[in-house]
Amino acid sequence: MRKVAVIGAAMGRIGRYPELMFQDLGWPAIKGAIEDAGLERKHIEAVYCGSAYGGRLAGQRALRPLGMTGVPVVNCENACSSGATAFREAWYAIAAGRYDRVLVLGIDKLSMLGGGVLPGQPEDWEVDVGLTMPALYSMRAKRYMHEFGLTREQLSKVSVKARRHGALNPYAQYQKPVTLEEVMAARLVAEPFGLLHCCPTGDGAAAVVLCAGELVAQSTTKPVWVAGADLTSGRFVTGYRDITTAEITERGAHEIYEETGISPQDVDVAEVHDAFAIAELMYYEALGFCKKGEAIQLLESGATSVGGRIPVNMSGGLLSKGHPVGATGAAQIVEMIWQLRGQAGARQAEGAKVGLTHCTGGGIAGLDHGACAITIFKT
Amino acid sequence: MNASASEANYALPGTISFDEAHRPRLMGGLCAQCGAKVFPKPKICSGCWSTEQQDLALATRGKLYSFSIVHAARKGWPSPYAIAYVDLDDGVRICAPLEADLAHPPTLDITVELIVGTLRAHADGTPVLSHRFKPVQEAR
Repeated sequence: MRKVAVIGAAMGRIGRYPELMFQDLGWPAIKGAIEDAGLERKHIEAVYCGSAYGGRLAGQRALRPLGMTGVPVVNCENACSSGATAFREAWYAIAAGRYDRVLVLGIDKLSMLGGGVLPGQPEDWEVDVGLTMPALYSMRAKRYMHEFGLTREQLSKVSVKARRHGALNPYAQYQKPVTLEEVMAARLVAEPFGLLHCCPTGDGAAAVVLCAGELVAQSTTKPVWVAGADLTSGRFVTGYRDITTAEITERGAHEIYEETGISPQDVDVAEVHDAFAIAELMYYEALGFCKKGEAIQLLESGATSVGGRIPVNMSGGLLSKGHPVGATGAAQIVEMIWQLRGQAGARQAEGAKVGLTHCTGGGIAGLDHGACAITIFKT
Repeated sequence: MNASASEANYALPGTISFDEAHRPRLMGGLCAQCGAKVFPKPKICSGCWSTEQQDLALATRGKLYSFSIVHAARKGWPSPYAIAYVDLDDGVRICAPLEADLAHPPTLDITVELIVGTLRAHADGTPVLSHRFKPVQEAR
């Protein structure tokens, strides 16, 4: 396996852009990533595109305005993990020696779907009797609160932290801090969640350029190395399952820590999939940042806030930066590249050398989640 | 009313039957080879790959594992409503609407029992039925 680095990264501000064509959401990120890498379009040998709701040929549509089709384009759908799945496949293709320089795009335009709750998975027997994604996560929260004594006020602190970080990120959909009282009083979505315990839906695109280790010296940017990229899917269980444990994330984390020799204690900064407030707490535990049941103490200690021991979701996370589903994995990676280059501005995690991105989702009956992608980067 | 017409109004056709006393039963699958109990009845056992799946009337009682009161519902769904995970006494987990006093929600781990009720309505007003669970009223 060859060494692989990210040498270019770009994204636009996540938001709602119903007037923008899908392709016009995509090409600025692609162009930005290639220019950031100091390359020209002719250097890109293949493109991997992640999108969950973009429909057919999402990658080709975004590449077309730049005259960049004519190379292999692989479109990846893996729900929330689509962009991270595309990244993992691109990394592997270079590591295995198939290509030297590859572009990864994550893109989705959720404003096409109208507002409100995302459509459910067709033919899903849980969706057919009323399960929604907020309801699924809120059942996790309710059980977690029941077992570990977490209060709704404590849960709300996750959202306050997210919005505090997001206020420092010019690429975030929400850039306004919120108070604990505002989170607690927001209109109810799926109890115990109010609106501010849930990520918004939005539109976004993010892109990175990956490069084989031998060619990195030709690049003008500081390379960020891919230590490993793990992908797994949820196991099918028809009986009892502990929904306070993120089984798929725990398993994926175990795999990548073993593969890379990096431990949770080595991680300096992380972007985790906080689609709902409880998720961030569950993922602290599943990723090994703290013991089971102790996530809120870790958050309340300030360890996961800007300036803390292991800052989490410096971008604002999905709760504040936004969650254009298939773009999210790529957007997390762009943020991590900026963090590890020391280019993250006011939200910089000082001296970060090892960064982890974690992206999981896709509600289908019987599985903890459909997919989970975890990537570890180092300087 | 013939069987096919009534079936069409269930959210999950084929999953509800009624016993002689007209009490509802939730129908799952029993794997003839390995004994796995699954809801809804699969065409193939995910454990042993046997395609011999028998109809199984599942336990009508279970424990309330968790639930949520949904306010932001999909289009066409009356809200608020409660949705739950119930662990049936025979080990099968069921996602089901919960019939309860939403102003005084139940605590977790209580015993609940199967009922059949209206889930929502089609655009033409035809009710869509499904399995539901409600707290068991314990005898005092």
